[in-house]
Amino acid sequence: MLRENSKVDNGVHNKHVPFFIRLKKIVDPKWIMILLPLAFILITTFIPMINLFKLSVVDENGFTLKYLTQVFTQQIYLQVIFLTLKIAFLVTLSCLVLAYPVSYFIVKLKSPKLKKVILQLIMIPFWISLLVRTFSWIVVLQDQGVINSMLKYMGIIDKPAPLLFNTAGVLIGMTHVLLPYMILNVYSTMEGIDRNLVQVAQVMGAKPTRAFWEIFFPLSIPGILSGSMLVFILALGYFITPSLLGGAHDMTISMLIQNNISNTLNWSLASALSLILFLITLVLLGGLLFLMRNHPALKED
Amino acid sequence: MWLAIIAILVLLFILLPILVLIPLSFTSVNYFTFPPIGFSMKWYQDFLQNKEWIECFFRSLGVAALTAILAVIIGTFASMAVTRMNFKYKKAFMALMVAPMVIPVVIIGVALYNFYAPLRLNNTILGLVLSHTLLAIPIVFITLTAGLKGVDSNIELAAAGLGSKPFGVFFKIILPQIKPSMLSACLFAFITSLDEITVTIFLSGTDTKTLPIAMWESLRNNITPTIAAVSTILIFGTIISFLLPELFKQLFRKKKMG
Repeated sequence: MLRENSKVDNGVHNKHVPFFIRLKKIVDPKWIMILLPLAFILITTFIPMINLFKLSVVDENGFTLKYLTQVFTQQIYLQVIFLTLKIAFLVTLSCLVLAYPVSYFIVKLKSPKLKKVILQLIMIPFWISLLVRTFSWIVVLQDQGVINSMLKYMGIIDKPAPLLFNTAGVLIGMTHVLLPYMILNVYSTMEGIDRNLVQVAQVMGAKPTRAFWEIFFPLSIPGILSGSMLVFILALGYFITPSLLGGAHDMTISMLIQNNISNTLNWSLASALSLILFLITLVLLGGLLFLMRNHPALKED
Repeated sequence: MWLAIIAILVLLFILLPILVLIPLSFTSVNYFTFPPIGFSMKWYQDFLQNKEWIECFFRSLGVAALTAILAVIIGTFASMAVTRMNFKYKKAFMALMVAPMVIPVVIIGVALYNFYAPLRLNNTILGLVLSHTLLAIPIVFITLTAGLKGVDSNIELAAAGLGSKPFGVFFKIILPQIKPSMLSACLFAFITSLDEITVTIFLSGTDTKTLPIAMWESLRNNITPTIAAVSTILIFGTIISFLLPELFKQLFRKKKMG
């Protein structure tokens, strides 16, 4: 941005052109295509974020690290951070366990039409309101809900299993929301694997299981890693699902931030927590970009 | 074989909430049991007769429409820049355009709440539209960039060489070629806004309550089957709009062939 401005300035000083021509040079439609979106994102996202983060290190007495150290030294805050990481990890794991066989199943399908239909079915909940999906989990998981009635009917349990308003509920709800991201990631990597390699291994005498574990699985690891990283990052910031499906003890960083703004009005602490959440996300994102540096979607042209 | 069973079970898990919700919205009692007891439309009536719900519903549609327009304009600029221009730091520019997708939404919500306060933008429609737009830009940008990459830019150069102005080139040459991506981008932006809840919790007030906020409050305070009726309406609305681009595509194809 700086570069373009200085170029325009130089032109102006050398030639002394009239004002409206100068203006025309600055608002050359070409540059507006870059500057307008850039200005919008900077003004509505990054400047407010920097303003917010400032609150964590500057209070009425000037610069302070009080709030950041408070987060890192007090048991309650460390517990919340740890729980958030734990939930994100478990959600990632369960997404992976569910997504891998499904992706493998879709890749092995012969009919491209069926493939498309299944992928579209997976995408549908993606676009259905998060609140609607979370609400339906309340209905499904509650004591007289679908799961408990079914288990009772089959005689597996006689008392309803507690599935709602605890960590189990949060895990189920978040896995459901984030599963499509994982499937799409793993699936697209698997689709790119040269299946002839597996066949060659089998022709050379490897049993199908061995061919799978020694050829196919290692080649699908990039998809596993990028999918897991993406799900983990998204899970860290979740707010709606844990606050509706979780219990009193399932407080995540996002919920604690909201709580500090709406209830205790402690902006400095909310800001410190936001900064920490942002930094964790940023570090993981760096890792994700590193893993995906060879991904076709990130390459120009 | 076992693979197919697992896949079907997982698909069932993905679709289960939707499959359960729709029959429940027709229940005749005011609590949730499955299978639902009786059949009635009274929860739909309840929704339609409740002035507050309807008001929030139309407000949400309005905000979503404004968001879609603004996000598509800004997103078009950004993806035109990325696909038709050469400039330094293009990768950084692209990263900034998709950044709102990965930044935890709560941070954006709190940051905007703080930023809007001196500007008096909290509890205004403008404030909501601006915040929803920034959340919709990444998906619009990705969709349009993919669409624009598939268009041969030599035709544009030819048109420009023959004297067409940049806007003429865009509306007469580029737009007709990227119609499907443009349509999906509009739809994605619209749905993003219609679903937005986390940022809206911070920014909306009593005068600017949206449908998700009304649902959120009802979920936290008293859950009635009305919310299942609202959800069902939203589900069908989404599925229909999801199928629209496909339908349009087929219409265009028929026109071209005919």
